[in-house]
Amino acid sequence: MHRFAISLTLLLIICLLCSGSAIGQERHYELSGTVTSQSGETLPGAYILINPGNRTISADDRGRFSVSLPAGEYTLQYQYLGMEQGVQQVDLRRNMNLRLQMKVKATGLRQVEIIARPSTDVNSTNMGSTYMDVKLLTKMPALLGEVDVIRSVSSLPGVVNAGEGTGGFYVRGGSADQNLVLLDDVPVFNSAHLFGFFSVYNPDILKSYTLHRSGISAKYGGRISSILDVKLEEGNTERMRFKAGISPVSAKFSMEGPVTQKLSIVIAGRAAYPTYLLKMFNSDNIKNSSADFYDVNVKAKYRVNENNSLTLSTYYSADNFKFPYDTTYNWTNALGSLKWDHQFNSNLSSTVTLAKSVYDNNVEGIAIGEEFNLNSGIDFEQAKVDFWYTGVNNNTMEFGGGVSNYTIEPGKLEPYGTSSLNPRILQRDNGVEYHAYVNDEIRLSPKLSVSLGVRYSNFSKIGPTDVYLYENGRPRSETSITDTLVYEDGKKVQTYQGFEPRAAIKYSLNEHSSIKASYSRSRQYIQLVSNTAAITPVDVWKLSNRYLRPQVADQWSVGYFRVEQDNSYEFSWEVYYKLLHNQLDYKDGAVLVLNPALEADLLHGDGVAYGSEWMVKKNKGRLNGWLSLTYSRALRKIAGDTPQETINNGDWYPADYDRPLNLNLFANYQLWPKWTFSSNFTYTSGRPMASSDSWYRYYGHIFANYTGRNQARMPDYHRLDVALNYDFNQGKKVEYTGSISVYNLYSRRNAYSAFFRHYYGSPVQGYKLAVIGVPIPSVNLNVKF
Amino acid sequence: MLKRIFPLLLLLTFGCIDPLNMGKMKQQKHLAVEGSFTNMPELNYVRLSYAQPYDYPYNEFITDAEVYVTSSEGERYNFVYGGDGGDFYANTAGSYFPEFPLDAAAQIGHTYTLHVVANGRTYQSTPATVKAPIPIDSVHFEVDEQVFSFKGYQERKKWPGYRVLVNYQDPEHEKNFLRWTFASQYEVSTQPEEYISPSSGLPAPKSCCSRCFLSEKLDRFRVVNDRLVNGKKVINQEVLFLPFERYLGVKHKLKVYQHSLTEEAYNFFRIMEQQKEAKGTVFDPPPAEVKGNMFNPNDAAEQVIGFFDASAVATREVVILRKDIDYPVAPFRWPDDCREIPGASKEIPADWLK
Repeated sequence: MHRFAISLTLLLIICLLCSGSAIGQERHYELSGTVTSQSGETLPGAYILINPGNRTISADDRGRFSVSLPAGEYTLQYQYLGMEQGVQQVDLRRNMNLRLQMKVKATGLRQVEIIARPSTDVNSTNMGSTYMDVKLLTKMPALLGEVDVIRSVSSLPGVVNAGEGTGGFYVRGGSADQNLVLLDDVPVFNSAHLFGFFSVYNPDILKSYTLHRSGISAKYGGRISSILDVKLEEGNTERMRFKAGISPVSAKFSMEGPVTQKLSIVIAGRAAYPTYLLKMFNSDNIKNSSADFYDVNVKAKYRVNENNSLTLSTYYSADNFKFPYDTTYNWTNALGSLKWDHQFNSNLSSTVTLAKSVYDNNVEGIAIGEEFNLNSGIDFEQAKVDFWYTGVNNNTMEFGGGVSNYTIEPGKLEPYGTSSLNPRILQRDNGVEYHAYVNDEIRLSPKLSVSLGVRYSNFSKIGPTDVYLYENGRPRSETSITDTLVYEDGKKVQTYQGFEPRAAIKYSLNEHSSIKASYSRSRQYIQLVSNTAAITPVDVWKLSNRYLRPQVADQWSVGYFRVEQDNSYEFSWEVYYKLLHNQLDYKDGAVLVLNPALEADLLHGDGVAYGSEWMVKKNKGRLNGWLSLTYSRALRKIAGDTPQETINNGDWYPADYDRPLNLNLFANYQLWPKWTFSSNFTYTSGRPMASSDSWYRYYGHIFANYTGRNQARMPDYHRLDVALNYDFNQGKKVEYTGSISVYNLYSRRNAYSAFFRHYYGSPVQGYKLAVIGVPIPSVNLNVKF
Repeated sequence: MLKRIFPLLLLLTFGCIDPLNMGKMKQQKHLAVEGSFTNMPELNYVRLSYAQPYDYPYNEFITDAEVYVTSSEGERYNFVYGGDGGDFYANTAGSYFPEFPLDAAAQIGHTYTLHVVANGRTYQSTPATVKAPIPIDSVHFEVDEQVFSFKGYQERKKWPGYRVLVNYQDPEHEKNFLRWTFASQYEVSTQPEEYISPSSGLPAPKSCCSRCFLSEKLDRFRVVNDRLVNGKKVINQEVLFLPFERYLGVKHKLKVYQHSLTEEAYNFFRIMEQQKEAKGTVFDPPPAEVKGNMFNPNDAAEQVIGFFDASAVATREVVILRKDIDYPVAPFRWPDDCREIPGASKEIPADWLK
C-alpha cells in the first residue's frame, strides 16, 4: 500500500509538471471570481459557460471559481436554479477577479425554465455525486407537512431507505453508519427526530446538499459508503427576511438577513407536538405517553473584509419520548462549527474549521425495584484546515489536514430508589484520528482530465481502558477471558493507519458526453453497534480497538455521462464494484447494551457489493424530473474459527442492505403559473430475511424454525407520493406558499419486517408488519416576508 | 422496554400486520426435543415432536422412541412414553417420563446427557452439569394490568391480575442464570344453572357442577442473569403474571420453581424468549436460527431443534384466596358445567384444604 501511495504521488507530480509545460509559451491569465445572488448569498454549483472554447466550470462550495485561460476576449454565460441567466464580456489581459451577480427569476409559464442544474458535470472528473438544491427539494411531496433531506436522498440512484419510521439510508450496499452525514461540516450521529419522520435538517434554512457515492475527493474521509454534505443558508446581505410555517403536528419560524453591513445571521426554530393527538386515544397507555422534539439553528457570518470571513453555525435539538409508568427516553444533539475563510490571492484560499458534535442519550426507568438512569453518548471534536490552489495552469489542487478527537460514553447505569440493580459504568471509549490529504484535478487536454489524490489517516485508541485477552481456539465469550491488560489514561492502546488513494479520469467523447472511471479506498474507525435493522436512539457507537479492526472499502467505478447542450436532458450510466473489509455482524442473541466484553458478541467478515445505475433527467420545460434505475447486490461472508463465529457455513450471503432492484421516478409538472403538481414513485426489492422451513410447538408455544441468515426476501417495496403546490402572491412582499400532499397514495402496505406467529384459530403463518399502511395526507402553509 | 413504543408508533402512523405469502421457501421436517432433568422428579420429562412444513397444520408427536439419560458419574435413567394424555392442551402428548420416577433425580454437580433413538436415527445432547439452586426468600404479589391470552382463546387482551414477584439473594462469587416454571392448582366456580342450549337458544339449566379444580403447568422462557445484580439481594423480580379472571376466582395454589441454569441453557431460552416476543419492530433483532444442544452424532448436517436442560431447582409454594385480594374483581362467568372447561375435574386435589 505504501508503494502504491508513493507511485501515486510521483504520478501526481509528473502530471503537474506535464500539464504546466504542455501549455507552451502562450500567455495565460487567471480568471477567478464569486457567483452570488443580488442579496449577497454565494451560489455554490453555479454553472459558467466560457466561449470561445465552450468550456464549462462550476462554482465550488463557497461559490468561487477559478480558471486559467489564454489572453483574449471571452463571453461568460452563468446560470443557477431559479435565477435569470447572466452574461458578461471579459477582456482577459491580466489576472481578473469578478463578482457575478444573479437576479431571482420571475417565474412565468411561457419561459423555458431550468428547474435544476444538471446532476452530472460531464467536464469534471466528478462521478457518483448528486447535488440537490433546496428549490427542487421543496417541490418533492412531503410527509407530515415537511420535505426532508434524508427522504429525498433515498430517491437517488444507488440509495435505499432503511424503512419507514427510521432515520437511516443505505448507499451501494453499505450499512447506515457507513454514511458520513454532515451539517455545515459537522458530523451528525443521529439525524432522526420522532423515529425518522423528521430529520435534523430544517428545510426553511437549507441551501443544498451533495451526496458523494464514488470517486470521492481525498478531501473527504471517515466513512466508507458515502458523504452527505448538507449546507445551510448563510443569511442574505440585503434585508431581514422571515419565514413561518405550520402543519397539524409541527410549527416553525426562521429569520435571516443582515445585522450590520458585515454581519448577517440566520435563526430558525422548529417544534413538533404530536402529544395532544395521543391524548385523544382511549387507551390509558397511549393517553399517558408523550412524544415531542424541538430544534434551533443559529448561524452568523461576519465578513471581516474582502479576503476574510468568519462563519459560526450552531444547532441544538432535544427529543423526548415517554412511555407511561416505566420508561422515558431523551436524546439531544448539540453541534457547532466555526469557520474562517481566507483568500490569500486569486489562486490560493483556505478554510480553517473547528467543529464539535455532542450526542447524548438518556433512558430513565421508574418502575419500582428497577429505578435507573442509563446515559450514553458521543462527543466529537475536530480541527482542520483546507486549502485550494489554482496557481498552476489547468490544475485545481486541494490539500489539507486535521485532527479529530472522539469520546464515547458507552453506558453509565445509575440505579436509585429501591432498585436492586448494581451501578455499572463502562469505560469511556477514547480515540484520536489524524488526517492529511492532497488532491489535484488536472486538465491534461480539453478532452482528458485526471484527478489524483491520496489521503492518509492514522487512528489511535487511547486509554484508560481494560483489554480482555481470550483463550485461543475457543469462541470468544465472557467465560473464555484469560487475562486483562490495563492501559492507563492517555496511553495508546492500538494504532491503525493507512493511505487512502483516490484516482479518477475523464475522457470527453465530444462536447456533451464523456466517459469517466475512478478508484477509491476509504477507511472508517468508528461504527455503530446495533443489532436492529435501523438506527435507534439507544444504539452505541464504538471505536476501532484490538478486536474491532477499521472498516476498509475499495471501490472501482466506470460510467458514461451525457448532458444535452441546452441542459435539457442528461443521462448517466455508472457501474461499480466494491470490496469491503472488516465488516461487522452479530452472534445470535448478542448483548449490546452495557456489555464490557462486547467484542465477544461481534463477528467479523468481508463484503462485496456491485451494481449498475442508470439515470435520465429532464431539466427543462413544464414537465421535468428524473428516472433512476439501479441493479445491485451486496453480499457478506463471515467465516470464523468456530461454528459459533460463522454465519451460513462461511458462505456468501445477502447483507441486510441487499436490495437488487431499485427504481425511482420523480416528476414535476407546472399546471398553471402558480400551480405545480409533483409525484414520486419508488420501487425496491424486499429486504433479505431469515427463511423458515418449518414450524414447531415448544413448551406450548408455536415457533418458526429459521434456517441460516438472510436466505429469503420480504415482499417488494413500492410507493407513490403526490403533491400539489400553490404559490400565492408570487413576487409580492409577503409570499404565501401552500401544499397538499399525499404520501403512499395507493395505500400500499409495505413490509417493514416479517415474522412468524401463531394466532389461535388460524394456522401458523408468516406475517409482515407495515409501519405505514394507509395514505397519509398533509397540508402545510408557509409565509415569507 | 423499547418494544412497547412500537405499537404506539403503529397507531400513530396507521401501521398494520398482514399475512405474508410464503412464496418458495424450502420446507422440511426436523426433530424437536424438549427435555428437562432436575432434582425434582415431578419436573423430569422429555417431549419429542416434529417441526412441520407450513402447509401441514397439525402437530406430529413421536410415541415410539427410545429415550434415556446418562451421567458421567455412571447413572442411567430410562424414560417411557406417557401416553397421549387425552387433552390437547395438557402438554403431555409426545412426552416421556422416567421409568422409575422417584429414583430419577439429578444430583448437583453431576453431568448428564440425553439420548434419543427415533425412526432409526440416534440423537444426543451435549453434556450439561447441574448447578446448585438458589433459594427463593419470598413470593409476593402486586396488582397490575397486562396483556394475556388464555389457552384456546383467540383474543389477546388486557386483564387485571397479579404480578408474581420473587426475592432472592444472588450468590457473589459466581455467574448465575435463572429461569422459573410453575405448577398451578386452582378452584373455579361456574353457573351451570344458567346454561343456554346452543341448539334451541333456550335456557336449559344443568344441575351439575359449579365447583371444579384445574391443574396447569406454566412454562415461561423468561431468564435472567446476575450481570447487573451480582451479589445483591434481588427484590421484586417479576416471574409471572396471573389474571384474576378464572385463575384467582376462589383459591389458587402456586408452586414456583426457580431453576439454576447453565450459561448455554440461559442463552437458548433467552433467544427463544426473543423470538416468542418478536413482532418485527424496529427494536427487534432480526430473527435467526436458534442453536440448541441436540445433535445427530452420525450426521452433523442434520438440524435438530431443542435443548436438554439439566438444572437444579429451589421451590416455594403460596396460596392465594380470592377474599384476600384488595381489588374489585368481577366473578368468573362460565354459564355451564364447570367440567366443560378443558382440563377441569370435580375431584378435590390431595392437600387442597391444607
